[in-house]
Amino acid sequence: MKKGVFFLLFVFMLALIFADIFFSPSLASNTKKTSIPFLHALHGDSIGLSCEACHSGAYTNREAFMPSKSDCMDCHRLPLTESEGIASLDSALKNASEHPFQTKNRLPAHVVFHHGVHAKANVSCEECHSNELAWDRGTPPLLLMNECLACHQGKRGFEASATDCASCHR
Amino acid sequence: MLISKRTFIKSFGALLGGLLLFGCRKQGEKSLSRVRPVSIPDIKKQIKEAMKNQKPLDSLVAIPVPSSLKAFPNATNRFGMAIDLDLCDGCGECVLACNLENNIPLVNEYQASKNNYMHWIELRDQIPVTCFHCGDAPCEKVCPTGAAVHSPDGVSAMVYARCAGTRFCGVNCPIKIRKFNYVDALDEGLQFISNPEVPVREQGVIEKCSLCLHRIQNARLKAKTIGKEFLGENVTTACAEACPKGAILFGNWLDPNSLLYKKARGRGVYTLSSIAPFDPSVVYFKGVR
Repeated sequence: MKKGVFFLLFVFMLALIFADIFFSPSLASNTKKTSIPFLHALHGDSIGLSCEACHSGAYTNREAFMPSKSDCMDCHRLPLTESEGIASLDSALKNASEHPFQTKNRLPAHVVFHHGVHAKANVSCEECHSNELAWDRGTPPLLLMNECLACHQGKRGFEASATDCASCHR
Repeated sequence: MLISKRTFIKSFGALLGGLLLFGCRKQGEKSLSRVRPVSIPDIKKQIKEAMKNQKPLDSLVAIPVPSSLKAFPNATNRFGMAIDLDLCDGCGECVLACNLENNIPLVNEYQASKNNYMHWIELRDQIPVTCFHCGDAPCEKVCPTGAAVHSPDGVSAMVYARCAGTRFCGVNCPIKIRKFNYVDALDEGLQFISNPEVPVREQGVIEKCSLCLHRIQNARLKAKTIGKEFLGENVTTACAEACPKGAILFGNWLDPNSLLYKKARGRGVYTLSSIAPFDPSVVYFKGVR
């Protein structure tokens, strides 16, 4: 009798776990899988490119945008390296749509974030977007408000900034 | 008999449990694609209905021109508005502009029958009344969740994500201008979305005039990005923009170059008698001092 109760409890727990996996709205990724494999490590500081070279608006605009195919082709119309992968990259680029990298802004509607203001205050992109490998995989980490607050309260080496609600929330 | 009673009960129980769990899964966020179209004439109709049953107005009393806030004596900005009663004829254009700017939903018939419109500006005895953004706001003192807060800029702001809908603020507001969002407007197809800058409020929060906070924020971010100090230049509220008589002025009470500051010179500054003790940022101009 006792065994049966445990069995039922076990089934119930299992069902809970499955329900959580299958029915919870996914926060993990709103980034569409792209047909072009991309590594930030190969495109950034190593070849002297700033983030804004591809993500236009990152230093001046509210949003930083994703590059279009023509932005890639600006450099990739020439064979840049002699590595073996270049042939498959060329074909991937050829078949890609005009906007191969698409991402949905995950900032909730009641939060204001302006990239330009933060760049002006000498906050580097890596301060928030440090995990570039996660971005390459298409699973960017979620930023939470306490990480914003840590900086704004002056706890992370930057000058303390506005912490009143109406500066960032609407 | 194919299965034993015990197995049947067990599997039936598991199935029932599973179905129960399926029933209480998270619905996810409401998608905007479900929004049924609300037309501008619908909004105009509700504004007209609201204008037909106007609430009574308190008497006007003279007050000094707003100056620095007590809570933020060092702030350089105190945004506010002035409504020139010598020019205003109570046409209600400001209400429409406000509704469109802030994605204010319609209300259903029941709420309309109780005269509970969502309008952030309403006409009372032909005079536009909105949140006065009191410097010493009674509503903010009673909020248990910290959703009603005052910004150093002088805006009495609502953090809707924090609002739990206790409605204490609405009760404590002397003019009862805070509106409770009784209706799930998205669900009932009463939501009109015309401005992507302003988030749609969920059911069960108190809404009110934000002094077009999104416009202030956007202008400030722009100014700071190019390294300028922001004193409220090039910002105006939707109602001020829409007023055909130019009777509504938006500006910075602490900036001598602000149009609002200049126009206040020599004018009689009034507010409602019930609001007068709370240091309002939105005032009425009437006659000369």
